Amino acid sequence: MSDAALIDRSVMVVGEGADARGAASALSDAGYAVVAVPHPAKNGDGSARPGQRIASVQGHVGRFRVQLEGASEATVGVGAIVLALGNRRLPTDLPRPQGTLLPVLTPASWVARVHDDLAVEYRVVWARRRVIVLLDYPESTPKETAAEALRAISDVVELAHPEVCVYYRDLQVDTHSLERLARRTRELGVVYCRYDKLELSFEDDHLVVSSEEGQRVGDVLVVAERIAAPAAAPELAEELGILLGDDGLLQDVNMRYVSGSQTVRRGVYVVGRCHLDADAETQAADLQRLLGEIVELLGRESLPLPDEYADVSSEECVRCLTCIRTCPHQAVELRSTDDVTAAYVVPEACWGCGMCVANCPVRAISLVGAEHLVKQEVV
Amino acid sequence: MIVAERKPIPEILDMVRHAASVAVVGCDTCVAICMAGGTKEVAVLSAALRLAAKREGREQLITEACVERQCEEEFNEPLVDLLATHELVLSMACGVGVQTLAEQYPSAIVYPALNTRFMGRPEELGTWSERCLGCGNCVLHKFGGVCPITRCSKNLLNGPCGGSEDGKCEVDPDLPCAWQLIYDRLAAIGQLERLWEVEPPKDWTTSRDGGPRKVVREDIVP
Amino acid sequence: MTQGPDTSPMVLIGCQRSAGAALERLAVEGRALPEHVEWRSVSCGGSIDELMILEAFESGAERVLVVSCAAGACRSVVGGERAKARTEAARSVLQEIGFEEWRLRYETMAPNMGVDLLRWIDELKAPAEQSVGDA
Repeated sequence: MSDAALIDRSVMVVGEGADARGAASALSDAGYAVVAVPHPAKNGDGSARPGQRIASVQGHVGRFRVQLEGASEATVGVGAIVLALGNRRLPTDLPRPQGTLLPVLTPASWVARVHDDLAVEYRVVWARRRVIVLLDYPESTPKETAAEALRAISDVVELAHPEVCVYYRDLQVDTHSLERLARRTRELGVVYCRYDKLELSFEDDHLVVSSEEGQRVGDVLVVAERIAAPAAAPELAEELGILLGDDGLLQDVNMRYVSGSQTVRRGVYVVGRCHLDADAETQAADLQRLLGEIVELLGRESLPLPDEYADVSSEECVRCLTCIRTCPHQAVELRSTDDVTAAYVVPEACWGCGMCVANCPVRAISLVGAEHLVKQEVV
Repeated sequence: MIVAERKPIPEILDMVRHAASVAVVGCDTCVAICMAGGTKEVAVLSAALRLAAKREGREQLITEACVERQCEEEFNEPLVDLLATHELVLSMACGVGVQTLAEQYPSAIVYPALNTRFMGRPEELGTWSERCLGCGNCVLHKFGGVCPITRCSKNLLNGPCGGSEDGKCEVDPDLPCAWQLIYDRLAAIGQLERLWEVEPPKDWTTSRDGGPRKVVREDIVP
Repeated sequence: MTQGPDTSPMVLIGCQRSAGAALERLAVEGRALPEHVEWRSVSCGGSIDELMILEAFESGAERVLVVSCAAGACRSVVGGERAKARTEAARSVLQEIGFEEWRLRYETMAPNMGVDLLRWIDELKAPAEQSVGDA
């Protein structure tokens, strides 16, 4: 069961962006064999894009068997699976007539444009520009995205001194960093304008914004992108038996809060923007945390065991499948030993939560201490 | 499988209150799987009965037991001492198990703790719904695997009735219209032309209406 | 009309990460559970079932307080919801045999809410009776 020779110490990294490359490279540097699976999301019409995808995942931590489809079919054995799909940034929909010359930029592209222009000394151009920054349109802007916008404002205003007005509806400056940014930008002359209803009128090369406070004209419009979960998130979550957060990102909010890089299924981890979207420092710390988890998992003679895990009595089991359906951690399977089929809890995959114990209608399951691990033959 | 549910406890208490000793006997087959009468439920009901007795100031001996399958006499044999020493047997099996115990032990007083509901399947954990009412003449091949007897509120064999709305039954809007399901299923398997076949009025003699039924395999009877 | 403290036996069933952790912190501060409260710990709220609660009453408790982590804090995600659902199942059985509703209470908590825990324990008693002519 926890036989060292049977543990696969390679790691599968799923994703095709910077997060996946970073994770694969860090794991490889740490000495782990890495299997990279790009898993590109399907096209809108359901057709597959080129590149290897996960078709199914069997087994459990230390002994996953992943069936791949795509360029070539293969079944790969890995000890852990790391999801590093990144996320998507979607432009906010604006009712913009064709042909308008008004620049509509994301905060990041705005900063880049200013830097480029300053490199060729277009400071004076920017100093004359009236910039409208639009937040919470049409839905509330998440805090991280708002923070990014405020950081961009603060960068640009320090460098190029344009006239900036921020239109917002719900912006809650209830974290220190957001509060600091808002205060700093105000000191630099940025105007903050709260609105309930907003009307945007796009002219040839400028924008007229009407709100309860009055009208304002802008020569540049900056709108934050929306962060969306990677397109492949729902299908992967279902395939792996893990949960998505309320925002669709690849990790239940509880797990983000209590366990960082882990998902509800032992051996399946998330790293990077597919589970949290923050600044570079936080993302770097996230990657370090993942490495720590992998070393903790695969770096010893045998796989770590929970303090307590569930043990099913195969004589009592009536194969009602309740424990398999109840377990939030995908730790229970049906197993046949000597012609007896019964539910079996994989100790290394168990979290010791006891939900199966509470739900078993024939009381066939009990929680046992890790020292009770009995060696059985692996079928 | 057979799906049952526990009777309301006040009703059970009315049955057993007067007895000095009660053997609560469960079954670990169908009723365990539908969480009504297995080992766990026996423990829960027994705890409730003990608490009720204490609360009402009564002395009552409650003993728990559970057998693999209460409709088989062999599994019930070990119960003989228990039944002899307890005034009442409260069976947590389906109606079949209750009657088997009663037939096997004619001097025992066997009461049912469950209401046996139907033959059905689990839809998701904790939810079971009816699929078969044992009409004795299965015509599922004609209806794409959806039973119009069980699942149509009007038992129509030549439906639909035309009263459904958005695929929901007009008799009970929580139910899907069985004939919508039949149509969709037949379409999916390319057998829509079956709907043109007129089904004659059902012969109900093979069902409950023909009286208690028996199945005999002559080749197996010793 | 004031009520004196209720010292009839109580059982506290809670998960290690919520109530258990809180009790450890209280102990460090020199505060303990009142003597009439018996502490029964489980690893996760999800493992609490109605039988555990009924057995607590059978063992002599007159009141039972069930505590688990809040919905957003359970490592097994659904442990708190399961604990709540099973507590309600126990409550329904208890009501069918005539137990008053107030005797069973369910709360969620974090480890830093030891003070709340002690307060719930104090509050778990029969609702104050109105006497005739009470101002």
